[in-house]
Amino acid sequence: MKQRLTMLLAAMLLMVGTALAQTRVNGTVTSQEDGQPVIGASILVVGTQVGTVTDANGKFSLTCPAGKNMLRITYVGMEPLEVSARPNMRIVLTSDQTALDEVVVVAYGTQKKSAFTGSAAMVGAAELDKHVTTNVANALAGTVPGLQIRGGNNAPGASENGKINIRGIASMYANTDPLVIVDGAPYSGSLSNISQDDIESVSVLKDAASAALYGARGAAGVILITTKKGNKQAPKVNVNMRWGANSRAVQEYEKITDPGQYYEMAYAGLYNYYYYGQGKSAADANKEANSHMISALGYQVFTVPEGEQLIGMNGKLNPNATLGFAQKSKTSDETYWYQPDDWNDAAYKTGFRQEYEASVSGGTDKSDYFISAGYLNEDGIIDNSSYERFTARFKANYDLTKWLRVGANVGYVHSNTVSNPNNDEYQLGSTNLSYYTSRIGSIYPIYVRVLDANGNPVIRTDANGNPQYDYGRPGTDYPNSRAFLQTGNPLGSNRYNDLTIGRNQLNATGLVDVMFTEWLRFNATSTINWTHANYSKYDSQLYGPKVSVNGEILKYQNDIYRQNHVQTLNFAKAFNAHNVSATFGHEWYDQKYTYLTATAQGLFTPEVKEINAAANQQYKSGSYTREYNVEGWFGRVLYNYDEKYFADASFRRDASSRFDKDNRWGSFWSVGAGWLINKEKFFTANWVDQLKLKVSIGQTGNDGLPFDWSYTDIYTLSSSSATQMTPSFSRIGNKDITWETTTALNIGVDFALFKNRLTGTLEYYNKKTTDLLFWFSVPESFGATGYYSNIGDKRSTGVELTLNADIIRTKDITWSVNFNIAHNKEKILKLPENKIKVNGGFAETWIPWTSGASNGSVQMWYEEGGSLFQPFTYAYAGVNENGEALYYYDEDLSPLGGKVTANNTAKAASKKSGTTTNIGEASRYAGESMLPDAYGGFGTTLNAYGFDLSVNFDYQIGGKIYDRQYAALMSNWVDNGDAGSAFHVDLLNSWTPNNSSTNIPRFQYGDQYSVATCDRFLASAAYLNFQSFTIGYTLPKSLTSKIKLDKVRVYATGENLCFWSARKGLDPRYDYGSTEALTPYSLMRTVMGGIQVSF
Amino acid sequence: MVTEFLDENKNMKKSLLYSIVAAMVMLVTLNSCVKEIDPQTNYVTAKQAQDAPGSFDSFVSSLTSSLNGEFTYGGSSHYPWDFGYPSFFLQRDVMGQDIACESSGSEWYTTWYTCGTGLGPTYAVCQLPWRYYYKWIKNCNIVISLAGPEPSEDKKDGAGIAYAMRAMFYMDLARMYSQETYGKNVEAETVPIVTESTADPANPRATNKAMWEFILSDLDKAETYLANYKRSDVYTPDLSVVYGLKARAYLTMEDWANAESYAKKAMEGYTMMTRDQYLSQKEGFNKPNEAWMFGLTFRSSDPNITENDADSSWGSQMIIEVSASECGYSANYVGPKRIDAHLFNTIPASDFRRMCFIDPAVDAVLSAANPKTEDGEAAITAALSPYTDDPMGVYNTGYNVSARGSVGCIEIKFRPKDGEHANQYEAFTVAVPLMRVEEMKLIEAEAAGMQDQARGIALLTAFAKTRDENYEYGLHQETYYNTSNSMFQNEVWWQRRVELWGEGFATFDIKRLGKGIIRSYEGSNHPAGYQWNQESTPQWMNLCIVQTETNNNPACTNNPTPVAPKGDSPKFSF
Repeated sequence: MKQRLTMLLAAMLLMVGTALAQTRVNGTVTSQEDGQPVIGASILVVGTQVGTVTDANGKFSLTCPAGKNMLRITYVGMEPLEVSARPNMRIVLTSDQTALDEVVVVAYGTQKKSAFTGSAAMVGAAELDKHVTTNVANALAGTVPGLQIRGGNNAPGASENGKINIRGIASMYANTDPLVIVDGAPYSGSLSNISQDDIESVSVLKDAASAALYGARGAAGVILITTKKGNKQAPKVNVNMRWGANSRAVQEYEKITDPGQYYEMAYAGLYNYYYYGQGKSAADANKEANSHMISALGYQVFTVPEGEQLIGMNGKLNPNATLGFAQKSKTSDETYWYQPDDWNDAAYKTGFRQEYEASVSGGTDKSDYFISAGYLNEDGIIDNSSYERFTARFKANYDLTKWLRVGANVGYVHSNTVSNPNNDEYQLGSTNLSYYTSRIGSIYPIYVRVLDANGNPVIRTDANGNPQYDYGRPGTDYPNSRAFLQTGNPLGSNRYNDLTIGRNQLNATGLVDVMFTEWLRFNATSTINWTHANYSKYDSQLYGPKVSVNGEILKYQNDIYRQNHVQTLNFAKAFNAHNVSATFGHEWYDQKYTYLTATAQGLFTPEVKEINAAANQQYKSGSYTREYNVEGWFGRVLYNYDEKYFADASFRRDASSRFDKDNRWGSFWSVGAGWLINKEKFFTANWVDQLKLKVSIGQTGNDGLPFDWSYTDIYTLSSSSATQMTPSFSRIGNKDITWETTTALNIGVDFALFKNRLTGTLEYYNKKTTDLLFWFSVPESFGATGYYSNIGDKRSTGVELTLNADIIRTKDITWSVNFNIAHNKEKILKLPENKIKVNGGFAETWIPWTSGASNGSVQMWYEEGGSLFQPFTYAYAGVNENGEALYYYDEDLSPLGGKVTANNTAKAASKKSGTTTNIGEASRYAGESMLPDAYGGFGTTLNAYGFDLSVNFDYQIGGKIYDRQYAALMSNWVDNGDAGSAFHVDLLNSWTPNNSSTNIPRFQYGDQYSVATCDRFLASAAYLNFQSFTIGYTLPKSLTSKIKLDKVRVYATGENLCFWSARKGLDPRYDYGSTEALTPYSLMRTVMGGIQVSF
Repeated sequence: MVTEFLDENKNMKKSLLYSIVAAMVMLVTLNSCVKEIDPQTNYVTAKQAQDAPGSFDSFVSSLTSSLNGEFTYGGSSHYPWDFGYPSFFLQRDVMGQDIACESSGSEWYTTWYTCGTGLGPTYAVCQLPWRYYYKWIKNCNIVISLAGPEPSEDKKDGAGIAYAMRAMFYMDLARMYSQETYGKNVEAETVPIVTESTADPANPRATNKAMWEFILSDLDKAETYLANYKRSDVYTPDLSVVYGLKARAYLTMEDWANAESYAKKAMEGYTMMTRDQYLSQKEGFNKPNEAWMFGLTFRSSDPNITENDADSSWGSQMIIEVSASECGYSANYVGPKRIDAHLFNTIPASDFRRMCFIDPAVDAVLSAANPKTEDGEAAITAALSPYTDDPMGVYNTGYNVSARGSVGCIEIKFRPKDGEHANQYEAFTVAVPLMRVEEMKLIEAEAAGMQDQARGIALLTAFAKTRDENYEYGLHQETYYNTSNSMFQNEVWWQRRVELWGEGFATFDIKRLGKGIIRSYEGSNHPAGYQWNQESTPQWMNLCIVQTETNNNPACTNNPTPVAPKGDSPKFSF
């Protein structure tokens, strides 16, 4: 398909002439693959200038000059054919399986892969078909070497994409996300809004030579998405339908799930405290620990005979204990009943997913078109999360005259998202369903239960007949106070509150192409992307915190209006063996975001969730507008000699509204060269089909600051009365800031061996980023913590290898395997002097704002010569003879060494002079970089007798992650505030006088530093993920043609099937730093079956 | 065919080339300027701020309006202690013994109450005061720069307010961070002084001497500039407030003569709160009256009120009588703040201030009553009615919400606005006093007594008689481990503890007087595990400076990270 992209150009530049007529021949050219006529194939009478092209029906006729009757038929992507001319010919072209000269989508155009000197990975529709994704970015991990995705919310219809890094982490403080371009225009919306079936290809530009034309925004790489277009052929209809299910892919940690065992564990900590810590007798300690445990946990869910303890002297659950506990109410006649519930079971479910796509494409000799419509409906894995999407696209080009061509590409998306109103994945608390269910102790109920008249436990119902969820509020729910995240119950909140988002997106592109001559073309392309979203959030008047105001309704709308205008002048000409093409252009991009919100309280009924039906309509409202503007001038020259030696150069001058007007413009450039060694005469190894050396170097920029006005002081406004707004200081600006610049070198070899059975690319890169937009800290007494300044350098270096091999290639069976691996290394070269003057480096929690890390991640150590993501933690030294956790100290930094009076934890320690149990005397050490050593993917595809099978894996080797979840599950109770959380089974192996060989500290109430943030919780970040599989069967043509169908394929496919990591429950794909962000939607498992029909 | 194409092309070429180039040039000139975009939201650039109508007055107004109501620390409702100036009252007061917190894990003031790890220099709790105070100081510095060294007539009021506020902020900081009070060691380090002209990041901590000189010089300027200033409400400082601040400063500096004289000047025109005002169930400590010299107010539009169900506000912590709202940390989640049982027991029954706290004796009635029955409800209502117009709500808070299951010692000093018990958005929209004439009376008495004890005792007795007709001097002189203070000063201190309970003075007084703390005694209501007696002023009252300062200010030293005592202390007998 993609080979036909340049068909038009080929047809236009075809050099054919007229000559004297001798023999009249005619015929039809069809494609072997689908039997369709081939439009625009060129027919040339060998040895003459006589030729023509096929029409919309694949037909041609021409007159052969006398004595000439050999025809050469060529078409891009097809094997050329020479046949003898005769009347009524039926010519069948076969696809060129060995065609290496794929076309690569590059900045502002396409290029033949053999001529391309940069580094790009192209993922075509065939490759994408092996995945089921709502957001196409998820199909790229493991497929594109050097590309990683971290974090991200994959909830159905989530508006943000995962955090994508290409070839390392592009910046320390500025944007590290690649620029996404859809059909030529920057696209900052959610990729969920583009149906995967509409995508022809995704091209990932990784080096400066390919990205330099995007100037100020290309430093983190560029992802180019091209939608499908029609071919010049008879209408072809494709229908694709699939049905399946989403289920939970995240695993649970190994926790203590048995409620009896949970009490035993909690008891053990308290018993140790009273017995060992307070020196009480065993009997007293047993008594105190039992009573302390119940009062701290709040809930008892076992009944024991009068006068007996829940946990016996042996530390085990009383054998007479029965599950369930009755408690008479003090304030009513009810009897409460406590019993644990399975929170995970109640929280997660399997969601149905269905997807339908239909498209018709085709064209005439003057036009091409692609029309599609799609519908997706998927249910999430937790209640109140679903996504429904309608998509429609019309893309067409028309040659108005021989020299004027117009085109349009209009896509419209309407979606409805139901979101979990109570799932704030960025906060670890009662509003994060996943966190909540993974951390609540295994004794707590979901509902408030009471005993009915017959003494049977029933869920209590409220005045409206609804089940009462337990929020842990004493008096309102159970009489006792629940220790774990009191006042929260995400399951209850989900039932009563809701959040819906309706989105509309219109993406329209218009283009004009003017051919001045066959070598000079002007193009103007303008794109408008307009997104409108309607949010509606309702907080119940029946239940929860908004009862006192009789419910609350929050509405907000945003409009994002993006316009991009590109004008280019394209030149292409051959002078003998010298081929030159050049592009000069101008681009202007503007994004305007407007936001409007209102909140009202006091609703009439939950049936009308509108502000007009609310009493206090003035409760809260707001609006704002944001705008961002970029402009650039650019040029590129491509040159090759005899398609053997290639050279190119590009230049762009860019301006961004994120900088002061005096520092706006910057220049970016690149040069590249390639050498097709196999075309040299001296090169005789005939098993080598292609061998290309390529090198490129260039500069790209990054203006991606989290705040658009970092170049000037900012004041926040707040009201001092109903009529006055007052400014107060908020941020320090720096007028001098400008782009950070990345200079990237890429050296690579492309090869194809053994009749193209083994192909691959090996590349090395070195990216140095200078003038980093650094967060330059000032003493906080200045009224702010810092400002941005262009100080500091860093470097990413790495190698990438991609291999594809056809192991079996016969008429009926092809079996191929693919493998890619990438290694990346980060090095900090230069840091601002004031940040490292005192301590030789600095520690900060703040890592790149786009990295997906949230607040509270483990602190990192930054020093010149060091890497990014060096954890800065205490160093665990095992346990002492009492089972207490020990931490190392450095005698030069700790008061224990006698050289300093105050413990210095701002400087990285170097010596392990001794150990201490007091964290206030321990030193912090900078660890090895937590970034992985290597990552990539592998897979295989088998086609045999109509069956097709493909499986893909992605993996990561090496690297560390701070396993915060595990650390929390391993925590003892420091005070009663810690009660109620779940325990990890590893705690059963804690130190005791009888189990003194363990490395896990004693489990004792009150110990403050058993689980200090230390290297003990740095877990291996290696993983292997069974990312996708597809198995399909295409019915034989002999069968399908009888019912007038070209192709019928039935298939099953799945995504995120299985996952292995160092510890069950740990998913290193959350983040580079720690498992802080926790969402049920880190990745969902999707399995579907479907049918594909073409006619 | 192709020939035709080329011919046609040639014909068209020139005119087309021109028109296209013209079109391109037009497109380019239309767009060829990158826009200069200014923020269009709730923040503005410096230029927008300065060009706005009435800009200078807006800047001045922000100095007081930004004291509370916004999430200045975290920008969101994430931290329920992030509500501004009165949060520091609580932080400081729970560090001593006068407030007994709940032991629940959701008690947001636990870190200060229990010397938590969060007091160490790498934590948010440690950063909180530093960020708040220095942002406030920065705003003062901006106004002072805008006014210039010689403010014009129209800028004098603004400059005066800025100098007064800056002095107030530095006074707080000096007392929170210095390890020794001015009276004990004038060379002890306070905090770095940042003025409108400070540029060098290497900025050492000023000594007590330098700091208090600086504070006095600011107050002198404020006094000059505010000489003719008439304010419209007590939410902005005027000359009387400047005098009051001077009185506080001289008290700390133990310059008794000046302390006395400025306290006297400050109190002119104000009258002390009457019993009815003090105990008003609708307006008690939530609405300015003739005794309030300076205050602040939460507005219904404040993010502290509108976000997170108003749970991240002063009211959520200190207003108890909102049980029906199902919101508020004190009323519905954790349990209320309570007065130290010993302090309560030392308040004589005839002292009306005792009625700001529920007598533990009430629990005898309440725990016997069955609220399920009409009789029981009547008994509860009768027992609590002297304290509150929401007896069943307070009962619910004390017995069901608080793990203690009692109402004894619950504070009801700070009342919900207009007696609203259900809608917390309204109930929490209250004013909070920052300076009352009663404090001036007590400064006057202490300062007078330190010069001439008899005069001091007379003034103190006169003051105390307004609270307790039967007041007798000499009954409240507990030393709290420091016997070097005069018994007279101990007596004044007791009055301050009772009169100003919850208003942010506890730590300042403990440090100034070099007191220890006593939380372990027979009948203590401090939770087990935190019943700590400290024979000298606890180290945790000398706040650590956050790492974001010391890492970037090489001249700045730090205070030691405090270590929590291990286990409860033996019971102290008074």
